[in-house]
Amino acid sequence: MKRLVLIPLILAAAVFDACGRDQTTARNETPAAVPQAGAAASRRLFAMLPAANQVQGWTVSRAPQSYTADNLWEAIDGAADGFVAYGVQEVVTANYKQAGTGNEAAVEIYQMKDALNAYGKYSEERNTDYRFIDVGNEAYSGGTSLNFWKGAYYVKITSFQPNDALAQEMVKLARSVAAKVSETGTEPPELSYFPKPNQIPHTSRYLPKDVLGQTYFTNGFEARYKAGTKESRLVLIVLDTPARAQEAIARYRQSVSKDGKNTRDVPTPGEGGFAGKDRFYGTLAAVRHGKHIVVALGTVDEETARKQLAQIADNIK
Amino acid sequence: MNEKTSRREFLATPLRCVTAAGLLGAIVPSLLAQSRGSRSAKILTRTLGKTRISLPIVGLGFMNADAPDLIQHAYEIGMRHVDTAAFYQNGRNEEIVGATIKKMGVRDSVVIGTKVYLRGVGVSARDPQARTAFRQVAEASLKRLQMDHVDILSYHSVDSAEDLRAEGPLQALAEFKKEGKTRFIGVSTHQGAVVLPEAVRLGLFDVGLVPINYTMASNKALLDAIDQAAKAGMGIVAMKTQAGGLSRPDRALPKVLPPHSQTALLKWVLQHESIATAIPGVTAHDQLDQNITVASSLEYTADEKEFLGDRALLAQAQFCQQCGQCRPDCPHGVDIPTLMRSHMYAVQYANLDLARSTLACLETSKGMTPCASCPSCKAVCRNDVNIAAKITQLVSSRRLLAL
Repeated sequence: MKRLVLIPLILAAAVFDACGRDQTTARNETPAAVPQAGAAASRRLFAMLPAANQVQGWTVSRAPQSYTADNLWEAIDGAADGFVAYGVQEVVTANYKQAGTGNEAAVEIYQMKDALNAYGKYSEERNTDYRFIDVGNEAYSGGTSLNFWKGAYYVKITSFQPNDALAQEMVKLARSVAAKVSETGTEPPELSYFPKPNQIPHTSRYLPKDVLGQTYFTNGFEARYKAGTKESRLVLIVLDTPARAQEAIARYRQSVSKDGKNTRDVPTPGEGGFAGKDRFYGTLAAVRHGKHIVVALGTVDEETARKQLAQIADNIK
Repeated sequence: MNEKTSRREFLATPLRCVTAAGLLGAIVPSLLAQSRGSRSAKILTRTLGKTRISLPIVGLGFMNADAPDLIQHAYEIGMRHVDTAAFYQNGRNEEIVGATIKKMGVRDSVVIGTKVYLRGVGVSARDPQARTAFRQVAEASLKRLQMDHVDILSYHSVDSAEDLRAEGPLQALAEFKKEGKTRFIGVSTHQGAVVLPEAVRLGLFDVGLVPINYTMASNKALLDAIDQAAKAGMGIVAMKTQAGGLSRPDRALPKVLPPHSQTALLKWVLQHESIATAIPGVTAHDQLDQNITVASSLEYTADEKEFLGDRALLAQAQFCQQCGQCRPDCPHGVDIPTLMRSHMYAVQYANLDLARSTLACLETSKGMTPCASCPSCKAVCRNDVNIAAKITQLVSSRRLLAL
């Protein structure tokens, strides 16, 4: 009897859970910009894979497979969790062989929750040492990989020991996939707030949660900077409301200054915040600007940190 | 753990394990003795099989993290084992671990484990290039880690005995060990019941990394394989101990888990004496603080006991394994496995759309329609899933599912 009473409650809770999401994470919990995983999505995704000889000489050597967030680990083991964090919807993979050369390549197409998360996962894995090439919205090639993002899709082409010729073939395969993605998507507008001077190219990224290892920091953007030999980072967290941001920065200050002694108030920019020394990052300054929190870590000195924070705060306006 | 274990026995089990762990913890761990700034609270340690490394029972699974100060924090509170892999974040995960360990200057005080995933570079285990590929990936790992050796180099995600036996990777691993580029050799697998016995038979592997958590409580084959491997001297490292964690709990668990569920789940794993250490994945500082409490005590709190002793939870944790053995039990030929999957989506995932679309794929005669005419379900699950209860829930939810 107790179980029968629980049934509608459990299911009702399921419905309400779906409807009443915590507003803090609203941005990363909005309905997917692309259809949910299922038979229709699979067909569409499969159609994005290069068809036989679409790129001359390349044919499928292993039947395409599809995965959802639930079983993606079967394809990529523990790395699957990282994709789940960015809202992976469905994945298709296929292996290809090129006639006459023996070249082989694997193509993986990750349909992410939306363009923001496709960019996010791409930027998380992006290696700044690699060669950046013109595919999709942005792409790089190096080692065994060619990765790019476009729209809500993150695409990875892999080949072991590619020589220059094979690397070029991988570009052709990548472009054949990119051509089938109609929606382009754009980099998050928040990245335009970051000051350009001394920014290390290709280091910007999006983090949906646990920004700076803090559970109350969600929806974050980051870029790295270099002045002389000193590297630093700038982090922008966009929370749902100014009140949440105020609470979050207070918690962050508490986390950083465990003994209460190594931070002090800074009145500006924005609504102000605190500055001090972090045990790991060194110089640290954090301010709130409405619902935004900006953190500068590891700058050469506090003055540099405050200048960067002021620049971002001005750009947010 | 025998699935017939009563609640009393289940909760009583920790006492025997704590005693054993306490004896092992009496050996001053060499790694902790070298530490600077570690917490003063006593941390339980166990020996990692024949490696003879004494490790705190909780380490750091860094695979999804990117905040380098998590590693510093983990070290400061007494963790001494960091796990990463070449495939995580396209190599960036290793870069962060390497740069941070170097910055902290604690290489000699920590155990670093990394893994080589051949499929990640498009090579299969039995491919003629497997040895070369394995070596290349492992060399690249050392470079990213800025280390001349790791403590545990593992063959990543091996899911068959055949792949484990493949010559190429085994050769590469043996060479690396001989060259001093790894102290010990490991294997990570999601098919522990199959791969661990083969690893024992081969006698080449020092360490085994396996997923083990509360949702696998009735997986006797896996638990036996872990015990046998430990008896044979393999150091067993538990992965995926948190069953998905709070943000995305395993489909076998209810959607919403209380915070103390995380320590309960970790303690449950570490009750098993055959497991030397666990490496729960961490992405936030408060997760580390929570995990280290388990490293100090495996005694359940009242909340944890209640969570693990919850019969409804236990029932929900028995998820359909899609084996299909129940289908002949149904006089109407209903597609029970698909109904179970739909139930999981509706109740555990709270994803009514997915539940609906799953049901929509079924022919009417194979779906819930015949169920409504049966007074009670005659199907019996060979893995103890309560099919009748789940179908009753689905039938009563037809309105919500708009069917």
